[in-house]
Amino acid sequence: MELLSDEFLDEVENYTKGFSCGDYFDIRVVSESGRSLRMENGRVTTNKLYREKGLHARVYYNGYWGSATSSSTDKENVLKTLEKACIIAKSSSTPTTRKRSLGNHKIVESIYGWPVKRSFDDVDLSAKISDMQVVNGILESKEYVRSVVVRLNEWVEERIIYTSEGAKVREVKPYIYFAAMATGSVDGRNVTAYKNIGRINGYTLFDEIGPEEFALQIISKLEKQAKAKSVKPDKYETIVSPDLVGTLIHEAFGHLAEADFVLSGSLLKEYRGKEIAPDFINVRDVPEVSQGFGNIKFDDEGTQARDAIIVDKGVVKEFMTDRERAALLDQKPTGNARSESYRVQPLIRMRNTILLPGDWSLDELIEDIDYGVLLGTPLGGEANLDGTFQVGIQDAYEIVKGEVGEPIRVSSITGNSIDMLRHSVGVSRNFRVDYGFCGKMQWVPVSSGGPYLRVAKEGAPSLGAV
Amino acid sequence: MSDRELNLLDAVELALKHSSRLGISGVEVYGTRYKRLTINASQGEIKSVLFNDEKGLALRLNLNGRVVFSYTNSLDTSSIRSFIENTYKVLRSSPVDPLFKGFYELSGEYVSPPEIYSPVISQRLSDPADLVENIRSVVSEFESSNFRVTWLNAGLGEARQVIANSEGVFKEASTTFARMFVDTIAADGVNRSPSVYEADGWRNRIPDPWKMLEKARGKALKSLRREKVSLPTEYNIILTPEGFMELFNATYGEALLGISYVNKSSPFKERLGEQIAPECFTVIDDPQAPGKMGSIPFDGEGAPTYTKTVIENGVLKTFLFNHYYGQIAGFQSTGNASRAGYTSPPGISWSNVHIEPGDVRLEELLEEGNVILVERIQGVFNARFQTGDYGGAGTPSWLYLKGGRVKSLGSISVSGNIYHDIKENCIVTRDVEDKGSLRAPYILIRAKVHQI
Repeated sequence: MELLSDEFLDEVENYTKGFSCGDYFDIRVVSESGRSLRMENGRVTTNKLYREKGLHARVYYNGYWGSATSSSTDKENVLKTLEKACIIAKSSSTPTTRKRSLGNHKIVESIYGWPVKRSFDDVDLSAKISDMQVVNGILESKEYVRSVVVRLNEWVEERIIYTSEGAKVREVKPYIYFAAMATGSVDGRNVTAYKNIGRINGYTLFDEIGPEEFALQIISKLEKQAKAKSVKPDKYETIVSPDLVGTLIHEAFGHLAEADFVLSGSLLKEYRGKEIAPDFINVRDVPEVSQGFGNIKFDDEGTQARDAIIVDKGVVKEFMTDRERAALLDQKPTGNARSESYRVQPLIRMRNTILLPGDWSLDELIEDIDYGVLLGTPLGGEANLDGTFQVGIQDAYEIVKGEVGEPIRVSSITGNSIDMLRHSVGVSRNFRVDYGFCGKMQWVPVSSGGPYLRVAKEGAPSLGAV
Repeated sequence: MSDRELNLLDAVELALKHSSRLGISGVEVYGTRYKRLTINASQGEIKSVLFNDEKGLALRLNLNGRVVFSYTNSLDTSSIRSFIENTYKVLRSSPVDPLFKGFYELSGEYVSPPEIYSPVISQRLSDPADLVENIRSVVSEFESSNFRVTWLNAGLGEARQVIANSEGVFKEASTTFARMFVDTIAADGVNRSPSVYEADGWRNRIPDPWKMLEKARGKALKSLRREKVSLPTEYNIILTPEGFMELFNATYGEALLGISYVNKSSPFKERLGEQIAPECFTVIDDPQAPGKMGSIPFDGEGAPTYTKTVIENGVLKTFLFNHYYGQIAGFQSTGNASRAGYTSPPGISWSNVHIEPGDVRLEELLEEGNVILVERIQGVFNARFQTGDYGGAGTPSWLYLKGGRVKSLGSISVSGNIYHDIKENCIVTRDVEDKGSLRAPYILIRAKVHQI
């Protein structure tokens, strides 16, 4: 399904020979081919197939970026688009030169294709629809379920980046994403639950758990919601599940550590080099983790991606950067410049954002809690530069005298990420990553994860109860 | 490129003709070409400027209920022909959708809303230097030690859209847009205000960044010093028009789409003609409003658009349908088929949402006191339209006490069930905001609150 030839990188280099404008330019060509299926109550309502490619040219002129895009990648258009980017960069700049640097940079020449365990082409369309039908069928078999939507997206994405400094990078990724949502009504109470899975190695969705178990986990959430009792909206001694820890570390903390936000006023800027949490708190954004949906080898500026050590032993160490902001912050680039498609500029985006595990067991974390809550699986979330966050919650439970008890109704949690980490009590050795998409102006695949985290009542998030 | 690129109309005509030559009886072609300029600024300076010049064709083929959607951004003759032939090959092995009954058939009258194309915006697109300079000077002026423009994003665009199908539809329209979004904070040492956003957008004029930043700065500075307050579990909150629209879109907005009706996920499915909200609540979908962002003469399937009252004095009058979900449900399309460009098949969405104002003035409500003014509910997109449950961070929020005293609360936890809470206590103001695709008043509801 790859759309660009092996020689294309060299061709782009040849096309741009002799082009000169400003201090730097780069060309990003992205090709993508894929299929999306959507099933509503057993009917396939969308069968979408697509192939596209396009190019994005950027010029750095006196410290200003100008960009232009085109859906045509022949020589004439590559040059035309670069020239357009040059004109835009010049018109954005001021007569007074703003000298900015992109920093010293390691020039990378590399081609990498993520290993394909099972090619999308090796699985018939009917087999894919059959997997969706298994999930749909199990969910629909519950008499209280009224609506089931199942989605399957698979796509091969190929990116090449060529820079005027000589970097030449090509990376190919076979993504797959599967999600199901069920809605129903139990004894007059409406319930809804969701589950997803994402991979970058071809059609391997159900290698760990089959579609039957996938559906049963959704049913379990629906039934717990149906039985859940009300709770006072307040703060409690809290255990945060690994899935939710991942979402919190991404939404509530990770965004504050993105260098564009750091330079624009994120609270974390004031804490660089300072202790903000106990020494068992270690936060990383890593380019590669087992089953990571945000895995990358290179970013969209052709930078070799490396671990961003955001918090080490409770101390804020560094931020996620692109090249320009790495230079401004006097850091080595971390390779976090990512873009949704050739149509948009790269922004600083997370990859796989994780809280490292510790050495407690879950039982040890819970055993001395007299009354508290265990927060289960999240929905999406949103953060604010002052550290305030909000995350939707699918399931939650009370903890009574050291034991996980009955489900409780919690629509969302709100809190402050710095307060939460500062009041962390311990982290477990269990560790899990989750998958999804981050929507900071553009959508990119990411993972996040961590262990169970215990937070003292003082710093715990407030429950939005319903 | 094997041959010359076609213009949009020729490309659409070729796609229709070539599909018919292959013997495909059900064909729908959507073509678009757009030019868009995006300016990003922060920290008092322009960060980047991007120019997109995009075109593409979206194709839906139907063969006895086997339906496939595909798109291409290569518009030369041979690429279009091979694109259609490849899509046809896939069509033959596609699953059957027994409820698909064909594409939209030409009927009804098309009325073009006024002021959906602006020569001024079109001209600015080809010569943006003045606009870039204006934004540069505004963000530089506003950047100070205690107020920061985290992000200003301005977008200007011009688009031509063509929709045609085998049932006789062939419509084209040209539109422009100009939108602006600012994200700001006030800062004082380690004290931060919550982020304060302003957004605006029109088809016929460029929003004024100065006015937007002035408004944002006022709110950000007013929320910098938060006070700890002991709040009862439930309290009256007033949501701003933008704040309420976010909550509305995530709950009523989703629940009243035809897809939620057909998939039985809407709690209002069996309640047409019934009271689903209090009498204070009248909601109109208005794709014909002059110069508004959601104004367009035809929808993403080629059906004419028209103004409709969706909720009248609390009574549910209609769901919003595109052709596909309308025919499954036994209703006509309401002209609400939407497309996110040529890369997506038609869905359903609201156009411009207008909520009718009430009689009371915002100032009177605030003067009465014992009320929290909430700018927006952060994370409200997690609300469940199926149930009406919502929760999030009300940010920024201010407590208005009797006698006119105001306390900044920073962010508070706000939650509840909007379908229930709005019935219990609903007051809408005479004051309205008219911008983007909304025209709405402030609204007072009862909610569960807790200071973060």
